[in-house]
Amino acid sequence: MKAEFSPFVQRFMALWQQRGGRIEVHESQAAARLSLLLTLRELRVREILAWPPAALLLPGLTEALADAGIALIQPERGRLRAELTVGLTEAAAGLAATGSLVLAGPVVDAWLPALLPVYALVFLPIPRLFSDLTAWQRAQKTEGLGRALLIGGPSISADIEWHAHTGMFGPRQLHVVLLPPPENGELSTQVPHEA
Amino acid sequence: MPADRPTRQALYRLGQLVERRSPLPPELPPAAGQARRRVLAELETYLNGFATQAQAQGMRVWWAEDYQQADRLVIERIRETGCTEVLRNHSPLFDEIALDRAAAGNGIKLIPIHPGDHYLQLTGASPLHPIWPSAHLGLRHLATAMAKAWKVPPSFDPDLLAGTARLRLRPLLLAVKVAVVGVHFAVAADGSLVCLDNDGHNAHLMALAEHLICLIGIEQVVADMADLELLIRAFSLAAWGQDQAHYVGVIAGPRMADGPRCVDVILLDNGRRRALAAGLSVALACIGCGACHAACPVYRQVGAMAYGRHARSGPIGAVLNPVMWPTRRTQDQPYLSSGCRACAAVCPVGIDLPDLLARQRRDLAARASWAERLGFWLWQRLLPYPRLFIPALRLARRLLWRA
Repeated sequence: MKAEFSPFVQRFMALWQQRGGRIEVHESQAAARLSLLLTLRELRVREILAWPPAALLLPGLTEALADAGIALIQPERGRLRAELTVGLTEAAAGLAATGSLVLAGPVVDAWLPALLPVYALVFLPIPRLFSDLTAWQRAQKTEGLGRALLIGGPSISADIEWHAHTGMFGPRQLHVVLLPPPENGELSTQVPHEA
Repeated sequence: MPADRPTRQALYRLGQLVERRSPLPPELPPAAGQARRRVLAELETYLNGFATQAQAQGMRVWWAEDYQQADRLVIERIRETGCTEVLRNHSPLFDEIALDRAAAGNGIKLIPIHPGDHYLQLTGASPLHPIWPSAHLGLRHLATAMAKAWKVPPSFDPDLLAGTARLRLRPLLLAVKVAVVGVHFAVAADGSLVCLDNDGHNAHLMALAEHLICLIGIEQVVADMADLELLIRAFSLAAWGQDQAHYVGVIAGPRMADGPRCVDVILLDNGRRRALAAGLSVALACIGCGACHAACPVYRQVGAMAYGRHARSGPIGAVLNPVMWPTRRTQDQPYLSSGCRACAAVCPVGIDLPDLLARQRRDLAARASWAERLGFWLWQRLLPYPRLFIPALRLARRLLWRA
């Protein structure tokens, strides 16, 4: 059965895909976890650049990755490994107006897993979708953005005769996994943060 | 003097690209213009607010009155780090203060990490446009320069060339210690600094550099986050035709755990206060998106270099240069316009450039010498009579040649 999404979610998904990003939405956290493992198997990676395991949103993900023989490598400035081709991180917010992700928050080096690898996987819980930046900031009850990175699509350079080259410095493929709220484990069609 | 053929072809293509885009939402330019005007009306208050907030966040704030002082401040900050190879992003501010040359003169190598800027450095060419600096470099030209500089086989496939550049530039980014960054916006409310791009080089520099030296024009301060959001949209739509740049990096001070451990902010005047005093606050609302360049039929013929190497180019340059950097070369720039209003139609902050240009032309006419006035009076009288006009023109040319 195809789930009905709120206009908020639909707009975010449409804009994200329009810019060449990949997006998937799951009805439960278990389905999201399984899909992630399948994606990583397809990519044939043994190590991925990621946030500290404790900060990852999906319960049981660290164990599932360990069972699959995939190690989570945390970024260390000065010892960054260019060969890590897949990154895994979570977004602080998604903005429906522009179809972009906000990476922010207290976790150290939160930007790097979405910035350095060729393939970046980003978790975005549906309740963290906001209409725009101002709405998100209002919900944070802070004066400014602090330290934040807004990502609207893959890294593209068009500096040679306007020929678009994807993956110039950052990811060639940005893959957003929309997660249902953890309370009921089911996909919500209502977004609590109104514009 | 018209630009060379590849430059004119590239500018023509740029014009076509821009014309194919959907027009700006009608409500955007007035709203974005109001956001800019609000700050410019009380610039000193917002600047001091930004400086106070930035210092509270742990940044070091410096003020540069002119380009020489800005160069000196940047070089002193680099020297403090002990680094001699420093990365920089792409910003017209670096051309304005001639930073590359000043750094080289002090034994510091500034490496542009923006692909387009890097291609310019490899080929020794001049920038085409504020957003698309290297689009006029032909494949053959670029491939030969890359092959010579990097000892790689020449290729005429743009993807392969960009891939080669990636292989060369990305390791530099991953190992960056010190970076000089031209910032797009500074937010007065919380003292944060904002950079936009589509390839992510600014975000890399902001995340990975240990010492960040940020340069920003004093007019680029915005009031708060709501205005910033509006201006990010205005800039992205006008520069790239998209709702938001693919990467928008925001930093608010140094962080010991990640991000830069030291952030220096240099606020550059270099004639901006003079422009403000001359009643050009409307023109200082410019956000540097380059939309007016692409739309201007005169710019498409003469290119950026007609405006001077270290000055702003395009219609906005024709307005600001004579006031910000009054030299003999910049004085006549208000005449680099056909008055077609194409620039006003595409400006995302609603600057009425033709009106400003007409005003400056009137000022120039009022300051003209009696000989110039006599010349124009005669021209006006003789123009309807070709039998008189052509011999008079020949005579005038001969007299001017002798003078």
